[in-house]
Amino acid sequence: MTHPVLADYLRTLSSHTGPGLAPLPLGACADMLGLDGLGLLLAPGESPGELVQSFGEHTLALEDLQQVQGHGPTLAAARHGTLMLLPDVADTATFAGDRWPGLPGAIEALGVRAVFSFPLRIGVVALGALTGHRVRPGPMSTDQLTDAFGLADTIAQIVIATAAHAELPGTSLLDDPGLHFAEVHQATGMLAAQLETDCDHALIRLRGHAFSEGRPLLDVARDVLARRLDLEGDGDTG
Amino acid sequence: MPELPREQQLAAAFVDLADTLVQDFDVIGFLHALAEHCVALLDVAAAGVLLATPSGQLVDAAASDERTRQLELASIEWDEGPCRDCFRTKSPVPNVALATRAAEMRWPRFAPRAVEVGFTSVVAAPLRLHDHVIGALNLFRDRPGPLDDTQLRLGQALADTATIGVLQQRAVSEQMTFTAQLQAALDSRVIIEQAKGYLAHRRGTGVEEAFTVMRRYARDHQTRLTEVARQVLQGTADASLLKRRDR
Repeated sequence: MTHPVLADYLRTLSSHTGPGLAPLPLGACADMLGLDGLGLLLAPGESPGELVQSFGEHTLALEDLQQVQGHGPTLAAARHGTLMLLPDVADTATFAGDRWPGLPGAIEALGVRAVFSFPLRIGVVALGALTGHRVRPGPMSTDQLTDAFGLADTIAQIVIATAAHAELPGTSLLDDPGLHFAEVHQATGMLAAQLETDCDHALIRLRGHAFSEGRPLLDVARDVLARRLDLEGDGDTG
Repeated sequence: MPELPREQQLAAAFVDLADTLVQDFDVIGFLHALAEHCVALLDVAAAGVLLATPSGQLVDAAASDERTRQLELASIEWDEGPCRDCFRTKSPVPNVALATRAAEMRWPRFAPRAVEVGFTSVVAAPLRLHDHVIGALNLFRDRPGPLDDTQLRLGQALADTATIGVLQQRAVSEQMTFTAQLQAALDSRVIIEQAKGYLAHRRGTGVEEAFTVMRRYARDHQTRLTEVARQVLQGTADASLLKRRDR
């Protein structure tokens, strides 16, 4: 069964004539699932993952935090295809604290209490993850979980169909700001030029700095781009 | 395998034929296994399988032994035989005694060759899921009398299972290709962003201005933007692109 929200969306898809794909109705989907935010992370094959669509004021910060720490529910769902249900990040009895030391506390500090990550998969093919959150703790209901599985499956099908048919596959899935972490990549390139190193190493330096300062990666990236931050004498942190 | 009770042999065969979602899947090796299971489980002397491409050309053969494989390959070349008929009509070919006038009329080259190799009769079952036929299975006997119906149904069941396995594997490998395209598209977006930042530092400009320069260079040199970005990051870009802004 397809939920009315998705049925509407699938109808707009078939009558959509503009370039690329009609943006996913993540706001309406979040409502349907009783969530305060939803983010779509694409991580096909070996790629580290890019947030391409996002709804809710904490979504970007939640993904940023996992980028800085290098792990978390979204990345686990995307990479390993595992369902991640964290109905209360403040509950120290769950696996989250052991698995990702420091992360549950940092998520709580953002004002987020519950995180749910659903893998985007078709059979054995991993495409990314759909992560929702709530500012109040508590599990999702069985109906909400059923709808969330359906949504993740539908999005996986849309993603694969877009990749198969679009002239510039993938790009049409990006909503208006494009890559939500575009500035992180720009700052990575700038840092690579400054430090005369490659982008992989530059990104590690950028993340290391954000981690040790306890700041969002995006903020650090903006400082680098505005030439407010010089990592040249920073040494290898993180 | 003869040590195992028949039920266990059967179960093992079906599990084996469902196991296609592996990294290094080899379709001919898989169809060879189908032929071997048929010979182990059914009262037949040999089994051969013909495989078609998605566009409907019969292209390759696997068989339980080499003489049968040669016979199947010849049947592709001659464009005649039970597998070919079965594939074309999408339906089974019921038992045909090979050393008969009727068989020779039907398959002038295939029937005598099959008799020469030592076979007395043949049946064929399509590798079919709904109306999708990907090939056909031949079961050969070297003793008098036809294959009984129960055995024929089991042969068809093995063929059906193998078909689902092959189609499933094809669907997954197609999705793997799309996934690789998606990954390439995302990677190129990331590389362009990184190159903007890299150029901004080298030229002493803002990120947007660096992007304008890079786009203009790509247009003037009829090069893809992603390629220019890659050259920038690898340090192989044209010096004019990397020099500081003149004033």
